[in-house]
Amino acid sequence: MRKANLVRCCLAVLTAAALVTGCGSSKGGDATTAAGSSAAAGGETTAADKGKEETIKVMVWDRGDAAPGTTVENNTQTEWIKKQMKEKYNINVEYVSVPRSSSDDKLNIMMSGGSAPDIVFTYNQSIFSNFANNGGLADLTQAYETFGGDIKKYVSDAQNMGRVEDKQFAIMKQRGVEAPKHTAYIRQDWLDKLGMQMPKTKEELFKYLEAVKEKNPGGVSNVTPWAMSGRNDTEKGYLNFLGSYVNLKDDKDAYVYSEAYMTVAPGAIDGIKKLNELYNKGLITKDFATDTNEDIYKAQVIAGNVGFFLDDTESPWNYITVLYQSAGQRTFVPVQCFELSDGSYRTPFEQRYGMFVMVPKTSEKKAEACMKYLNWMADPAVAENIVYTAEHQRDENGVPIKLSEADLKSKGYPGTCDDLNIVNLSMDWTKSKDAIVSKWIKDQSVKWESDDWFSNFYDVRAEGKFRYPVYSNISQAETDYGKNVEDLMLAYVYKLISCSPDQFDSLQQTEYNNLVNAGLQKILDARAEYFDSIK
Amino acid sequence: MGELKSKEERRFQLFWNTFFIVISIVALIPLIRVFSMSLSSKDAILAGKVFLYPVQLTTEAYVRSFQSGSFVSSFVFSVFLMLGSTIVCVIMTVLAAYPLSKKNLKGGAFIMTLFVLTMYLDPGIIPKYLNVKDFKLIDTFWALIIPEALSAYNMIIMCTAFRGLDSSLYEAAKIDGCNEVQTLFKVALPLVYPTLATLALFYAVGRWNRLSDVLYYVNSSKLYTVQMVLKQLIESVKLSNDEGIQTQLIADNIKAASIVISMSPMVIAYPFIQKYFTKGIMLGAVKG
Repeated sequence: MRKANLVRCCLAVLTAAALVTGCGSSKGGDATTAAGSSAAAGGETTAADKGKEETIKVMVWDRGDAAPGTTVENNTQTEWIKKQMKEKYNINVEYVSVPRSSSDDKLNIMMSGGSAPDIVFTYNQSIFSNFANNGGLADLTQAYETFGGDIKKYVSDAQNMGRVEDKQFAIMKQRGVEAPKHTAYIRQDWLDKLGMQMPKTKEELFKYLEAVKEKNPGGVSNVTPWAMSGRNDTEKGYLNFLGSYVNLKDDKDAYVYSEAYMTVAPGAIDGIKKLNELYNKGLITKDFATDTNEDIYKAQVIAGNVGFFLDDTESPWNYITVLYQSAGQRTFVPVQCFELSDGSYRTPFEQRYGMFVMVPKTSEKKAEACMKYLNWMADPAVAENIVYTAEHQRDENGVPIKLSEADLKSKGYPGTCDDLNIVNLSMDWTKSKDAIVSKWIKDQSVKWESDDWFSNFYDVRAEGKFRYPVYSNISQAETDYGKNVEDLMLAYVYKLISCSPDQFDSLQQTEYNNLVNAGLQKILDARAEYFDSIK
Repeated sequence: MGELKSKEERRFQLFWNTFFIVISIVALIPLIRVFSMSLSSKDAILAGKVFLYPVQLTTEAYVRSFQSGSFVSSFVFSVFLMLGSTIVCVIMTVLAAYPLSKKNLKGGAFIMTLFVLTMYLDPGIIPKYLNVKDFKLIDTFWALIIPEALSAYNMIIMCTAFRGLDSSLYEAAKIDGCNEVQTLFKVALPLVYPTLATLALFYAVGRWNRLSDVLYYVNSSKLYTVQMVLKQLIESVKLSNDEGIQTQLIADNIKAASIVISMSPMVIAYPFIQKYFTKGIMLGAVKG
C-alpha cells in the first residue's frame, strides 16, 4: 500500500516538473508562430526587395532582471526588434540567453561544441584573438563592405580592432561617453579647514596628506590620509600615480607599457618608492593589502575617515553619497594632481572600442543577414530606441530619459535593455558636455551634490586626456603569460608599498626577477617587436 | 551514566565540548552575518556597520526579492527539479546497486570496474558538452537530470548496504516464492531505508547546489535554477563597471536576502532527514 503511494508521489512530482518546463517551451512556441504569421503577412507585399527569409540567432546577456512573466529572450523589447528586422529585411531574429557572469566560459564551450548562436560577443580581446587565429570566426570583410554602410558612417573609429591580417573578423561596439579609467578624489572641506589650496602637484598633495595626519581636520577617530584597498583584480588604487613618474618618449613606449604594464615602465619604481615612504609614515591605510574585497576601504570612506583616494571614475559616487548625507555638506571633489616631469597631466582614458561582436565560422552562410542586423542598430537613432525603448522621451538637453524601473517592469521590458544594443553606444547626447552633466544629475537616486559639482567633475576628470595606442594583435607571449604576469604585478606593487624602507631595494630585485621569470620580459619584447614590424 | 566519570574524563570532555562549540560558532558567524545583512538597510551595510545583528531593521530586501519575477520562478523550478532529479537518481542507484551486490552475478566485477573508472577518469567539460549535445539534450530539462543521474560513489554505498543484509533473508524470500523484483522491493529496500534516505539527501543537496550544468547545457532562462540566478545577482555589479553601460546596481541586502532564501529549503529539510542518519548507525549496532 505504502509503495503504491510512493510511486504515485514520484509520478506526480515528475509530471509537475515536466509541466513547469513544458509551459516554458510551449510559450516560446507561441511566440515563434506569432512571429511566423506576421512574417507571412509582411512577406507578400515586398518580398522582392527585402531578400529571402532568413533566421538568425543572437546571443543576449541575462542579468536576471527580466520583468515578471517575461524572459530576456522574449519580452516587449525583443518583440519590437524582431518586428523591425522582419519588416525591413525579412530576417527572423531569435535570442539565446547567456548568463552575464559566466559569459566568456559559456561562449568558449558553445564555440568548441559548434553550437554557438550566429552573433556572439565578448569584451575579452584574447578570446577574440584566439578564435580569429584558429579559424573559429567567419570572415566578415565582404559583408561589411556590402552591408556595413551605417557602421562605417557612425562607428568606424574602433573597427580596426576587429581586423586581423586584413580580414574583418569582428564588428566593434563603440563606447558612449568618453571616460577616464580612474579618478582621484580629495576632501574639499578638509582642504578649507587646513587653509590649503586644491593641490596641483604631487608635492602639494603630500603636504596635504601630512597635514591631514597631523592636524586631523575632521576630528575623526581613525584618520587615514590616503585610503587604499587590496583588490587583486585592478590597479585602480595606484596606477595613475605611478604613471606620472613615467616619461613616455614616443608611441612605441606608450604601446609597450600600455595600461597595466605602466607598473614596470622606466621611472615607475620611483613612484612605488614614494608610496612606500608614505606608507611607512602612516599616510596610507595600514595593512591595506589584506582588504581584498575593499569592504574596509569603503567603510572608511563612508565613515568620513579618509582624506584622499584614487578609484574608478564614477563608482565612488555610491559611497560618497552616503557620506554626503551624514556630513550634510560637500566632502569629496575630484582632483588632478599627478603632474608629469614637464608639469602637464596624463589621464589614461578608456579606449573607444568596447565589445568584439563576432559571427562563428559555423554561421558563415548567415554573415550577410548578421551584418544587416548589426548595421541596422549602428544608427544612433535606432540604438537610442533599443537602449531607452521606443517609448522614451528626451529632456530639454536632448538626453533620453530612461523609463523608471516600475514602468519597465509593468510594460514587460527587461531591466537592462542596454544589452540588446551591441554596436553603437555613442548616441547623440554622449557628445555634449551639457547633456552628459544633466544626465548625471538626473540619474542620481538621491540629490547629493549641486549641479556645479558635476560640471566641475566633467572638467577635472578630463584634464590631461590620453589614450594608449592599441592594435588588434596579441602576441603569443601575452596569451601564454599575460594573465599571470598581470596578477603578479599587483602583488609586486602591494609588497613593495608595504615593506620596510631598508628592504625595499633587495625586495624589488627579487620580485622583479620573479616577474621576468613569469614571462614579463617576453611580453614587453613581443610588444616592442610588433610595434617595429608595423612601422 | 555521568556519576562514574573520573576527573580526567570530565576534563577531557570539557575540552572537546569547548573545542567543538568554538568550531560551530566559527562556522555559524558567516551565516548569521548574511542573515543580519538581509534584514538591514543597504546604507548601513555599505558603511560597514552590520556584523552580527541587523542595523536599521527592514524587510525591504525580502519583499524586493520576491517581487523580482525571475527569482521566484527559478526557485519554484529548482524545487521541482531537485525532487524530480532525486527520484530519478535514487531509482537508478538502486537498480544498479542491487544486481551488483549479488555475488553470483556473472561479469559483476567487470561492470563494477567500469562504474569505478568513471570516478577516476573525468573527460572534461568540452567532451561532456559534446556528448550532451549529440544526445540532443542541450537546452532541455533532461540535460539537468540525465548526465548526473547516477553517482558511482553513492552506488557503491548502496551496494555495500545490500551486501550487508544477511543472505538467509534472500533465501527465505525465494522459498516463499518471491522473484528478484519482489525481493528487492519487499525485502531488501525496507531494510536499507536509512541508507536510501541518506543517499536521497546527498543527491538532493548535490542537485540544489550544482551550477555548472545549468551554465553549460541550458540556454533558456526558464531553465535557470535558483543558484544560477543568485550568481547573476551577486556578480552583476562587478561587471557593469567594465562596460560603461547603465545598469541597476543590486544592493547588498537584496543579495543577502536571496542567499538566505536559497539556503532555506536545505536548512528546513535537514532536521527531518537527520533522524535517518542516527537510525542508520543504530541499525548497524543492533545487528553487530
